[in-house]
Amino acid sequence: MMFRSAQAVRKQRYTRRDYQAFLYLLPWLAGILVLQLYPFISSLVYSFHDYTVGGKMDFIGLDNYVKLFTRDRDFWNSLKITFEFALYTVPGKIVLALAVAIFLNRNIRGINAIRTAYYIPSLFGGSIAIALLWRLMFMDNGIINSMLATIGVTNVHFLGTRGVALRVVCALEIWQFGSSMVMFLAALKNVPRSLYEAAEIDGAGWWNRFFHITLPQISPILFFTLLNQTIQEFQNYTSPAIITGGGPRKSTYVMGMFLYQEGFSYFHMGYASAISWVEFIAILVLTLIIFGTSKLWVHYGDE
Amino acid sequence: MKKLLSAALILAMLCTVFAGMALAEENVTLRFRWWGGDERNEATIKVIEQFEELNPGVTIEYEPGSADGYHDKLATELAGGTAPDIVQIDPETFPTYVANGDYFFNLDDFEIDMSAFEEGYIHQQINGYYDGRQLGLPTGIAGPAIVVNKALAEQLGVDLHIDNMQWDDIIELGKAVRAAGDDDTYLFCANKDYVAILFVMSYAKQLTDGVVFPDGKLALTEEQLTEIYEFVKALFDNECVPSIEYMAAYTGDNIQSDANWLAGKYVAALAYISTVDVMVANGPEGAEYYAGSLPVKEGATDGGWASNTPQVLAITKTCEHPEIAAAFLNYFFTNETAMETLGATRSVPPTAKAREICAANGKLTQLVTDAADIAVAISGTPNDKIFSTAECKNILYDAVEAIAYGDMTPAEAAADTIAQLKELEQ
Repeated sequence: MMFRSAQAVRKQRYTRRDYQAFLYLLPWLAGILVLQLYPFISSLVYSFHDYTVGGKMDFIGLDNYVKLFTRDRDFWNSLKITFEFALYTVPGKIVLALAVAIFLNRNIRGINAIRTAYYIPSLFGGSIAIALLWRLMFMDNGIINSMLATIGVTNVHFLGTRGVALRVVCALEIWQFGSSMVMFLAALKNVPRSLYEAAEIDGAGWWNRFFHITLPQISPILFFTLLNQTIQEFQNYTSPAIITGGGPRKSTYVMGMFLYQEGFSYFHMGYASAISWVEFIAILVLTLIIFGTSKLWVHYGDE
Repeated sequence: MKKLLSAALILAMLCTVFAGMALAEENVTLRFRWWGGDERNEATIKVIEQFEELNPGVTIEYEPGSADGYHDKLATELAGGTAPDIVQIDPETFPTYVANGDYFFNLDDFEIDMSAFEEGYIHQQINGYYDGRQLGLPTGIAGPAIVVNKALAEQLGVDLHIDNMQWDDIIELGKAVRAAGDDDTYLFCANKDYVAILFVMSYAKQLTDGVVFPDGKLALTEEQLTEIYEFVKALFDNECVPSIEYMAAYTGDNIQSDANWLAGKYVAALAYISTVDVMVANGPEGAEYYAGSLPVKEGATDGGWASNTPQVLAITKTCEHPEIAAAFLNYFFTNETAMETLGATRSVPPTAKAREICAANGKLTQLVTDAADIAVAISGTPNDKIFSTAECKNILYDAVEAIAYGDMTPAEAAADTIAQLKELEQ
C-alpha cells in the first residue's frame, strides 16, 4: 500500500512549474551536452581512429595507444616532465600561499592593500604577456642576469640549461599563488581564537600551535587547493610553450605541449585524442589517490 | 558587266568582313580575377586602365576578391568552363588544377617577352612551368636571404659576398670573426630553427637534386646527412653562431629581437626576403647592410634555396581572345609604367627590371632587391610535400639541438634522423 502511494506521488512529479524550471536549465544543459559531453565522447572515439584533420577516419583499434606506450619517444619523457613540473609547482605554490596567508593574517594598518598586492600576480593567470615577460627576465641578457652580475655571478643560462629551464617555468607558476592565498586567508580567519588561547595557556609554542591547531583546522581548504592545483598544473601549456617552447632538449616539454603539437601542428587528431585520454586517466588516478589519503589528514568540523 | 558586279559584290563582302573584324577588336572584353588587399587592388586596376587606354576597344573587367574560398570557386568555374580569362592562382594549388584538366594556355605560344624573367626562375614548376609548358607566370619572389652588417664585416675583414660560396667558407668566416671580434661578436644571428630550415634543408636539397622525398620516399642517405650534420657541428664548435644556450630565449622566427642583433654584434643574420626589412629595422640605428651570398655545394644540380612566387597569373582555355589576354600579361610584367604602378604589391617583383624600378622609387629597399637577385640567381626546388611538414622540421630542429648540446655526434644524429624521416614516407 505504501509502495503504491509512493508511485502515485511519482506520477504527478512534473508540474507546469517543473517544466518551466527545465526550460531555464536548458541553456546550461545544451551547453554541457554540446561543449563538454560531445567533445568528451568524440575524443574517445577519435582516439581509436587514424584521423587527420580534413582527412578520413580509419578505425585502428588500440594502435594509437600501443604506439604511444611503446614507440613514441616523446611520451614517457613528457609524462615524466609533467610529473616533475607538478611536483615542484603544487607544493611550492601551497607552501608559499600558506606562508604569505599566515603573514597577512593580522590586523595592521593597510593590510588590505598589502593583500591586494600579493594577489595581483594571480590576476594575470595563464596569460601570454606574463609568460613573455618571464622569458625576457630570465634570458641571458635579461634583468635577472643583470642583477646577478652586480654580485659577481655572470652568464647563467636560465633558459638554455637543462634542469634549470624547468625550474624557471615552475617559478612563474609558484609566483601566481594569490588565489590559493586568499582561500587560506579565509580559512585562517575561521580558526576559533579560543583554541589558540587554550593552547597558549597550556604552554604550546608557535610550531606546536601551527601543526596541532592551524593545519588540522584548515585541512579541508588545503585538500581542495591541493586537488585543484594538481589538476591545473597537469594541464599546463602556456608557460612552458611561451617561455621555453619545450626546450632545451625537450626538458620542459610537458604533456600539454606534446598534445598540442600532435593535434594542432601535425593535425594527428586521433593520436592527440589518445594522448589526452591517457593524460585524463593519469589525472583521474592521481585525484583518486589524493581523495583516498584525505581520510587520514583532512578534518571536517562536523566530524 | 557580270564580272564587274561580282567584283563589286566581293569587294563589298570583304569590306563587311574587315569591318566586322575591326568591330570585334573594338569590343573585346576580358575578365581578370585576383585576390588581395586595397593597395594591390588599386595598383592592379590602374594598370588595367593604362592598358585599356593604349588599346582602345579592349575592356578588362576586374574582379578583385578575398582569398577566402577563392580556389574552391575557381575550381568549380574551371570545370564548368565559366572561369575568368586571366586568373591569379596560388602556386601550391596550381598543380591540382593542371592535373585535373587542360585548363590553361601555354604562354610560350604568345607574344610575351619572357626574357624579362630569369630563365631558371620561371622554368620551375612552382612558378608555372609544367612539362615544358609555361602555364603561368610568377608575380613575385620569396626566399632566403643573408643580411650583412657592412661596417662590422669590413671592420673584421670578412666578406660575405663571395662568388661560388661553399659551405666550408662559412666556417672559415666564422672563425675569422671570432678571432677578430669581441666576446659577443659572431658571424651569424641564427637559432636552431634557422639553422635547420635555411642550412640543413637547403644543403639536403643540394645533395638530392632538389627533392628529398621523390615520390614520397626518402632520397637522402645517412652519409649525406652526416656530412650536413658535420657542418652543423662545425658551426657551433667554431662559434659561427651564438651558443645554443644563449639562443634558447629566441626560438622560432624570433631572432630579430635578439639583444645582440639590436646592439649590432652580429656580422650577418639569416633571414627571408620578406623579413630583411624587419631585421634592418631592429638592427642598430644608421647601420648599413648588404645582401650576402648563399652557399651551393660544388657540383650540385639544384641550388637548394627554396625561392618561389606567392602567386602565378594564367590565361584560361575558355578565353576567346587569348592573344589579347597575353598582350595584357606582357604589359603587366614588362612595361615600365606598369612595373612602377604595381610596385611591390605582389611581394618583391619577379623581374630584375621591376625590382630596379621599385628600388629607385623607394617601394623596395636596395637590400631587398639585391637579396631577391641572389635568391633568384641561385634558386632551387621548393620543399616537397613531406619535407615541408611541421613534423619533418621538428625532427631536424631536435637533431640540430642534440648536436649543438653535444648529446649526439653527427653520425648518431644522422642515423636517428633518417630513422625518423623514414616513418614519414608515403
